[in-house]
Amino acid sequence: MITEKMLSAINDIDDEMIADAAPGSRYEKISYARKRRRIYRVASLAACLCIVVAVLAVTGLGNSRMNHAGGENSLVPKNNDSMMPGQVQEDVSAHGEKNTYPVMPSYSENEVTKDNSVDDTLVKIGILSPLQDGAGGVIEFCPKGTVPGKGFMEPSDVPEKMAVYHHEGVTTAGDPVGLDREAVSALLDTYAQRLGISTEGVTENVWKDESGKERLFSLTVKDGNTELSVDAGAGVHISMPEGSMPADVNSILELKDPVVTEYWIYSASAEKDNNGEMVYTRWLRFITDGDDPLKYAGLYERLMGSVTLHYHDYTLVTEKLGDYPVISPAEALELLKEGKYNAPAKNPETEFPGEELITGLRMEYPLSPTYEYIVPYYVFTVMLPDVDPGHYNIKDADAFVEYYVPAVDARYFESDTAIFIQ
Amino acid sequence: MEDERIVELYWERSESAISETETKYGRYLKTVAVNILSNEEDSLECVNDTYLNAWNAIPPARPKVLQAFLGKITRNLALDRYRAENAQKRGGGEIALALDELLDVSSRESVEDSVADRTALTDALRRFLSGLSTEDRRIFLKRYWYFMPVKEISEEMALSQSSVKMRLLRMREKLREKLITEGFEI
Repeated sequence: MITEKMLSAINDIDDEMIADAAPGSRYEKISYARKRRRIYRVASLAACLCIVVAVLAVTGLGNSRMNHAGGENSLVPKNNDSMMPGQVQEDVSAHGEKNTYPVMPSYSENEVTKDNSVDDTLVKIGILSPLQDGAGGVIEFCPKGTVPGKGFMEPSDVPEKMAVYHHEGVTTAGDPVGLDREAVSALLDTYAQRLGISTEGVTENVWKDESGKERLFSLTVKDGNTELSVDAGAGVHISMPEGSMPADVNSILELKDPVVTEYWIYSASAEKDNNGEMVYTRWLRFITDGDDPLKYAGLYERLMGSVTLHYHDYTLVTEKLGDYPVISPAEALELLKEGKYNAPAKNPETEFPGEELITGLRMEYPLSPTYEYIVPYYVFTVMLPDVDPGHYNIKDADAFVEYYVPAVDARYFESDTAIFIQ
Repeated sequence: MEDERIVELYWERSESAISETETKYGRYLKTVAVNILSNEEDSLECVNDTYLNAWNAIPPARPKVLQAFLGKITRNLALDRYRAENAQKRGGGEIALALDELLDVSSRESVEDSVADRTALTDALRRFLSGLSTEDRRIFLKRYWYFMPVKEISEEMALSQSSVKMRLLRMREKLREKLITEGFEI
């Protein structure tokens, strides 16, 4: 029987390999756990810095729904039922006054009926790296009086089930996809050609891995006012002065079936302009390719200065684990109130301050080559009244944060502690 | 004690070679046997037989990697015992599961047609394993060399069980494709 041959063949493989794979000691367990935690930290940092923010939820949880705040089951308070997005912003312009922000009403669980049975055929979802251990973003700032999160999704918009994907090839940040120099160079050539810029004078940015080996991080070229950078994670970053970016960025991206969604989050860049003033950035548009929630591009502009287009020219190799039951917004809110969420490094400053300060609720598939599982999340945008922007050298700003609560029923997670950082 | 010194003790025909081997690798060898036999008593017998076999094999052998050398002896002894005990019944336990998984790679039905000889298959496997990441290779060997339960692998590697299963599935598929590409009839 060839299985016997296979057993024998495996038996004869190199001694070094066998010894290397020997059932581990306690030390090995600890070292692996530590290594993974380190990877998650690095990955989450990278996620915060440069990689991926979000994709609007599947099944069309897009702008149209966000704009429909105020239905029967809306989480927007009844007195805001007729509110349109612009009016929401107007309502909160007087920041600092009591009840400035839309109030999340108490929500009866009876309004959403759920099947309490567990589908045993579904694979349990493992560690949701790296949206743990303090990952999920940083304290962000919006121009004073503006609304960082626009609109509330409605419970009726939440599908009963949503897909969960397992991502193969999970890798560390800095080398998230691990393209070699030739592949990065080819991508650079492709996008330079689409932009009509020269590839003369390419600069190479490198980093050192744990073994001290120098590895390629990115290739960058600048032609006139246009800067093109491609990193080893297949991230394509194109910056050009305001007004220069083509209205139809798909002429650069060449997505087969672009679906454009306006984005609404303001966030503060860490940069200051020539006058030392804080320069805010704002996501302008969010582009997905067809109905694939795992393929997207983001375009954001600095409110003063250049416009940058970020795109990851890769497709995550994923396998759909199945369609998982999704909890209701009310249940997600309860988890948030219980502290069962992923957010920036937890400290008293970023503790959830209360539902009355929620300014937005949406659903996303946070994406990154560093994530092992692609799971839908509820994202609560919440003002942080106790954070002093001045402490961060930011003037005339309000602080906010985004809290990520897994949208999949917790019974399908292998470990609560892997999901919820207390 | 360093492996080289233990091997020297065997060459010197010093009986302390056995006790030093037991001290350093006794627990490891027992794990190898238990994963296959799921039986404490039988496993201990296998481990003791391993010491005897090692005593008889060294010299003339001078193993470079003593751990693997001993592990192979234990594994073969345990597999022989497993086969003998399961000749008339379908075996249970971890090894049965692992063997079933390996059938994904090498189907029973094609046995008669297979012309792959053991050396060629070993070489192909070696190339396949060399092409894997260190982590994947460890997972593969923990499962199919050491017959470790998925749960234990996941705990050791700090991975979820589903992730380990998924990786094993991918590796089996990849191995199967590789063997077909290289002309093995499976």
